[in-house]
Amino acid sequence: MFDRVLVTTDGSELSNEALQVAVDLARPMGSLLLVLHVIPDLFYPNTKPGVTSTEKAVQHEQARDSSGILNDAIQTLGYSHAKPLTLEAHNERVADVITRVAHEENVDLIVMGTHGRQGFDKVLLGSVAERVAHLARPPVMLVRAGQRAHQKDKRAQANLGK
Amino acid sequence: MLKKILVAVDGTPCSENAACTAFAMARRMGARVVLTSVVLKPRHHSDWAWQHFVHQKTETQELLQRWARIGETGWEISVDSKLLEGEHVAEEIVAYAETEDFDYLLIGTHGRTGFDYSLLGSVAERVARLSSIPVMISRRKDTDPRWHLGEAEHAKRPGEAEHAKRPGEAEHVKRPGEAEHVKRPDPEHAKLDGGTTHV
Repeated sequence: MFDRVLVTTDGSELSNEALQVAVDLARPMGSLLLVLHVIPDLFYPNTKPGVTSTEKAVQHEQARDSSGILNDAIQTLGYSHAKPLTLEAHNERVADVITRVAHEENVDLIVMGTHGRQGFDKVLLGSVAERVAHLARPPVMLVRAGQRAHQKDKRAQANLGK
Repeated sequence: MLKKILVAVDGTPCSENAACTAFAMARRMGARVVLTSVVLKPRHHSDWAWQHFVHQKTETQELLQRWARIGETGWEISVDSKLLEGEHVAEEIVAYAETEDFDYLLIGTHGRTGFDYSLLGSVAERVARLSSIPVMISRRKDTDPRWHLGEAEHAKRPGEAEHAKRPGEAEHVKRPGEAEHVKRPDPEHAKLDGGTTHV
């Protein structure tokens, strides 16, 4: 039931935390870990017709960086049963790409990082993770920013208390 | 170190799926599961409100015990339950999960989109926003008997998957030709689990 676990990464500190949580889950269950990096479509939603050459160059640059991101991610994981995936979003949201991949690859669990913003920030920023949590069929595990640090602190405190 | 999973249930099919997901996870990881449910405290003092509160507490306690039993017999894992009382559901769950140092928090959601989404504030979403431990949001699954009976129990199949959820009802007797209803409707999923159709 947890044979395939999808984890998304964008190379950020937050997504590294999500990766760590995913590995902690996948290791005892012996799951295949699909590490997905989606290159966002910078020009979506596109309000003007056509994309200039500079914009194309930026997008291209991003795509080139992505292979490095994924390789780094898998290196730091130290989990051999992992499969890297890179996709480029074309005229669609990143969340929709993630959801589609999850369905196509038949994953049993999606692990994602989220900033967990509240209040004004929440209104201001649409969250990829939230959209995936709403659209995807498999369960979605959301990893909040600073979670691991928080847990480490707690453990350290508990140890001091003993 | 043994992992601890907290799962919030409220008796809806979505939360039942969350419970089953937790059981399946615990079985694979060798983790401990704690079932929890929140009963809202009465906001004003009246006999009726108090009675309702007491009634809800007993009902919820039964719900928790029932699911603990399903976990223990159906999935053969150790399950505890904890009834929480408070004024806000999400806040109570998160506070409990954080003080007890759980590794994962599981909760079910309806997964509404569009208009329903904007209409209904989701407890699951609030939990996900508040919690500092990883939250797993689980969607209602198709009626797979393994999810409702448990993997260990599934082999024995004492009753229908749907009926396993409602112990008040008479034990269901399986009739021939009924297998279609409990088959996993998604053939791709069946393939994923090694082609077993559990009939």
